[in-house]
Amino acid sequence: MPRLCVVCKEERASVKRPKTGEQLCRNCFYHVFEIEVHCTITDNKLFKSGDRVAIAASGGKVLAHIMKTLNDRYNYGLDLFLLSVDEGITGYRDDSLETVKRNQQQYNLPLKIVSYGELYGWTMDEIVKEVGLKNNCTFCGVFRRQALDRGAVMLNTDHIVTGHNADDIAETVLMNILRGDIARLERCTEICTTGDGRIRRSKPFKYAYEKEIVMYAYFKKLDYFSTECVYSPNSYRGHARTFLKDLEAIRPSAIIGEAFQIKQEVKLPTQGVCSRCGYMSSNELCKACVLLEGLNRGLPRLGIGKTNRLRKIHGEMPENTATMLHFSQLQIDGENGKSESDEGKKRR
Amino acid sequence: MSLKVSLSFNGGMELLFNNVKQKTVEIPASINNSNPTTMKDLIRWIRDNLLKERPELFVSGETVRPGILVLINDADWELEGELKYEIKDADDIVFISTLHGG
Amino acid sequence: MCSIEEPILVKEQAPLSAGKKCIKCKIAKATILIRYSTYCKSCFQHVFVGKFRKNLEKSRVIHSAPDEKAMVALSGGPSSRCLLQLLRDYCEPLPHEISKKSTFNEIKICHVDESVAIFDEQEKEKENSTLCKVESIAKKYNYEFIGLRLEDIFSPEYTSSGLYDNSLLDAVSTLTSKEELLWHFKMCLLMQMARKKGCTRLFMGDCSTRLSIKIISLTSKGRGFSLPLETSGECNLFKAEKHYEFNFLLCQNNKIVNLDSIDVIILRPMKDMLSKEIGIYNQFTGLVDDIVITPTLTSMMSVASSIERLTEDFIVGLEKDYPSTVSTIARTGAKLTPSNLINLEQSCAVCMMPYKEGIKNWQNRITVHMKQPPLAPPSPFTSPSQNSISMDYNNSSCQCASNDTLCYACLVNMRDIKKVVEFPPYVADAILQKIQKATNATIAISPTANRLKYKFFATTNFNNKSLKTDYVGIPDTISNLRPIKYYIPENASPEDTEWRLHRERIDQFNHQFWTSNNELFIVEKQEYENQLKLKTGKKPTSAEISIFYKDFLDKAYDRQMAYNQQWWKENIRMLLPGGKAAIRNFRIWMPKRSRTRISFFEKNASS
Repeated sequence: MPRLCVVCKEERASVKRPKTGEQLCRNCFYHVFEIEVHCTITDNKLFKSGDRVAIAASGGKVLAHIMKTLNDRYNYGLDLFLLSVDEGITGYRDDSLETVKRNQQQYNLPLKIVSYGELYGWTMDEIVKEVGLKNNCTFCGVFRRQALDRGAVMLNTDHIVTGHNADDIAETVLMNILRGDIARLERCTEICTTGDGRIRRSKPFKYAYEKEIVMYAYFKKLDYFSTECVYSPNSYRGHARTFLKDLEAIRPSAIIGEAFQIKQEVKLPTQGVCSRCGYMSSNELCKACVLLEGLNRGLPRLGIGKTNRLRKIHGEMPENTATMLHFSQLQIDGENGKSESDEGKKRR
Repeated sequence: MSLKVSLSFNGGMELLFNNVKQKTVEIPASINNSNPTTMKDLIRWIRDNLLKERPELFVSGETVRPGILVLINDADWELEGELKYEIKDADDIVFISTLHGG
Repeated sequence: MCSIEEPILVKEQAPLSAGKKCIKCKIAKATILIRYSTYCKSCFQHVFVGKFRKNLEKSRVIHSAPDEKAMVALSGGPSSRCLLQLLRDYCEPLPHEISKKSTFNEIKICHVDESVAIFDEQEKEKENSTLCKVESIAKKYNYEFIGLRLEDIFSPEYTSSGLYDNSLLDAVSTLTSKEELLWHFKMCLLMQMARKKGCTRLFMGDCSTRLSIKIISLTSKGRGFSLPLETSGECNLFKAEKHYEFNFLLCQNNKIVNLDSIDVIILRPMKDMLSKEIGIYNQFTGLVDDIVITPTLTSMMSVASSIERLTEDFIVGLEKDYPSTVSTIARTGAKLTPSNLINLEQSCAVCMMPYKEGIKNWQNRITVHMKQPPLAPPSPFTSPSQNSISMDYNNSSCQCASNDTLCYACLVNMRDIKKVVEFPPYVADAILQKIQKATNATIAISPTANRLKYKFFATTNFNNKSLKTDYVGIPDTISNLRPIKYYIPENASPEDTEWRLHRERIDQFNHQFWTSNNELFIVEKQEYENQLKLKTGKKPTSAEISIFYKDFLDKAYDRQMAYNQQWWKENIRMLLPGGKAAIRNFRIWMPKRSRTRISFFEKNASS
C-alpha cells in the first residue's frame, strides 16, 4: 500500500522531508517549504512594503521563484529585480546565465548582469592565468561581493537577497571557527547584514536545508545549478564540507545555525570606507582595490600576503593606473533595467 | 638477517593488541626486496602480523591514524623522517594513542 | 559555494627538521616536534611544566583562594592523570625547589566510574570497573579519594547504587544523545560532590585538543550559546544558591553559610596543551604506565557513530596536515562569550547550563509541523508537544511541559528517547523548582513529605494538557516544607473548592509559622555564636551550642504550644470536610469499580 501524505492524507507521499522525516506529497511539501520561508521573512521583518529588492540569482532559480511567489501571494509589495554576476569563467556560468535570461521573461522581472570584466577589467579566467589556482578564490569572493553591491546600486535597490541556505551557513560557521575569524563568526549567522549602510543583504533560506531546496527545484522543474566551480579545488573547505555531510547524516538538526557572541574586550575592526572606490572597508583601501591594484601592476600577491611590505618595496600606486569606478559615480539604470554599464570597459 | 625491535603500545593502543603493552619482535632486515626495512614496512608488518581486528583504528592509508604518537628511541618520529626512517637493531618504538584522552 | 572570505588556508608543510637543534637550549639535538618548534627532551619537559604553572597562576582564583579546598576530576586518562601529577608538584614542591606557599588547603580526587553505561551485565564482572584502578593511582597521593559510580546520580544521598538499571540509557536511541546524557550526569555528580565536600575549585583535565573538539561538536549539537562556559579555562557559572541540592544539605545540617561565597569554579589548566604534548610528557615521566584506559561508548566503533567521535576524527585528521588547526580553534573559542540572549539565572534541568528561552517557539517558526491544517494562515503554529516530562508522585502521575525547563540541545537529545524512562532526581528537582517559581507557589505540607520519592519521566507521547494531580514542590529553603500546588478539577463542586481552599489556608499557616520560627532560630544562633566567639575566640563546641538549643526551645515553648493547639484544632476541623471529600471521591470512583466488576463477571460467564 502506498504511503499517504501525513498532511492531506489523500495524495501518495513522494517526499521524505530531511528536516523532519515526515512524508509528504508534492503539493504539501511545496506549501510547507514556502510557509517556512515566509515565516523566516516575516519573523525577521526582512522587508517593508515598497522595498526594491535585488535577487542574487546566479545559483539557481529557486530563490527567484519563491520570492516572486511569496511576494504575489502575501502582498509583500516588493519591486523585485534579478541580479546576476558573470565571473567570466568559461564553462561555469554560461549555462546558468542563459537560464537567468530565459527566466527573466518567464517571471517578468528586470534583469541585471554585472560582469567582472566590465567592473574590474579582469575576468576570472584572466585572473587565474595571472595568479594561478592557489589564491583565485580570494579574488573571486572579494570581487563577487562588491559586484553584487555595485549591481544593486545600479538597479537603485537597497536590498539584496541571497540564496544562502542552512548548509552554507553551517559551512561558513565551521570555516570561521577553523580560521579563527572572530568578527565573521559573529556576523555570518545573522540573517540580515547591513553592508555599508546602504545595501542590506538577507538570507531568506537561512533555515532551509540544501536538500529541500534541491528537492523543491527538482519537483518544480526549476533549474538548480550546483556545479562546482572549475577553479575551486580547495581541499581544506572540502574536508569541512565532508565533515558537515557526515554530521548531517548522524543528526540532521546539526546544521541549523545559531548565534555566537564575542567577548567585549576583543577588538573588532572598525568599518570605514575605501578611499579609492567608496566601498565599505576596515582599512584605507578595500580588499577589492588592493587586489585589483596587484593585478594591474603585475603583483598578484599584493593583498594576499603582507600588503604593506610589498607596497614598501614597490612603491605606491602610480596615478593613472586603472581602478574601478567610485561607488558614488555608479549610474542608476533606467527603469527598464536593460542598459548595461560600459563604464568598466571604457576605463580599461 | 633480522632485527630485534621493542614495541610499546600505550594510551589505549594496547586494546587493539589484546592488551599487550610491550612486545619484542623480530622482523626481517629487508622486508621490501633488498631495501632496508623502514617504518612504513614496520607499520604494514604490525598491521598484518600483530593486529587482530579493526585495522582502521591503527592505520590510515600507509601510515598510522592521525592522533597516534610515534616515538623512536624517545624521539618524535616526525624528526626522524617518519615513514622513511630505517629501522635499526634494538630500536625502541612506542605508539601512544592520544584519542579519547582526558 | 566557494570561499568568499580571505585568507585561504594553504596546506602547511611540516618542516623536515631532522638534525635540528632544540630551539630552547640551542645545544642539544632536537627530538620532539610540537607544531613548528623543536625541543630536546629536557627542554620540552621544562617548557611543558612551565606552561602549566603559568596557566595556573594566571588564573586569579588561585591567588584569591589561600585556604580553600580543591577537587581534581580524575578519569585516569592521560590528560587528567598528568594534571594530577602537575598539580601535586605545584602545590607540594620538592625540598630543593623554590618553596611556594601551598595553594590549597586540601586537594581531593574524585572519579566517576561510567562502566555501568558502557558494558552489559556480564562484562561488568570482568574487572571493567575503573574505580579500583583509579583508586590505586590516587593512593599514591596523599589526598582523599572519592569514588563515584554513574548510577549514584539516581540516589540523592549518593549512598547505595541499587536503584540503577540502565533503562534510561538503553532507551536513548542514538549514541550522540547517550554520550551527552552521560556527560551531564558525570558533571552533575562532580559538581555535587565538590559542593558536598566543600571544595570551591574543580579541576578538569581538558586539553587543547579535546577543547577544540568540544568547540566544534558542541556547536553542532546546538550548544553555541553556552559553549564558552563549557570550554573556558575558568568557569564560575555554578553559583551555589541556585542549587537546591546544596541548600537542602545546608538546611539539613542546620549549617547556614553565606551562600554567595560558596560556588564551585571549574578550572582547566591543561587548556593550552596538545594531546601530543601530554602523551610525550607522560611517556618521559613514566606516567604512561599509570594510566587507566577508560573505554567510552564509541570505543572500537566506526567514525560516524556519534557527533563527538566524528568531530574528533575530523579535528585530529586536520591537525595532522594543518598543525595549527587545534590552536586556532582553541583561540577562537577563548574569544567567545555566552550570548546575551541567554538568561544566566536559568539553567537547563538536565545539563545545568544556561539557555535561551522560547527556543521551542523559534523551532516551530522555522519548521512547520503537520498537526495543523495545511492551508491555514501561517500565523501561530502549534506543533505536537514532542517533549513533556511527566512526574510520578506517590503513584499518581502528573505532567508538565519540559519545553521551558530544558535547553535546545537537551530538547534535541530528548527526541532520541522513545520510551517512558526514569530520570535522575536532580532533573526532577530542577524542574520542580522552576514550576514553583513560575506558579509562585508558597503553600506547604508537613515536613515528612521530604522523604517521599519522586520519579521523572521523559516521553515523546504525552500531551502537556492540564495537570492531572497535585504538584509537590521542593522544600522551602527556610521553612523546610514542601509546597503543594493543588490540582483544580474542571468541574469542581463548591465543596471541593472549599476543601481545597481550606487545605491551602492550613498549608499557608504552617509555612508562615515555620518560616518565622526558623528565621528566628538562624538569627539567634548566629548571635549566640558570635558572642561566644568574642568571649572565647574559638568556634563554639557542640556542647556549648546545645545550651543554646535548650534556651531557644524554652523561650519558644509558649509560641510552639500555641501553634500546636492551633494545628490540632485545624486538624479536627479538617476531619469533617476531609471525610466528605473522601466520600465524594469514593462515589466518583465507585461506578468505575462496579463497571469493571460487571465485565469481569460477564467474562467469566462467557468463558
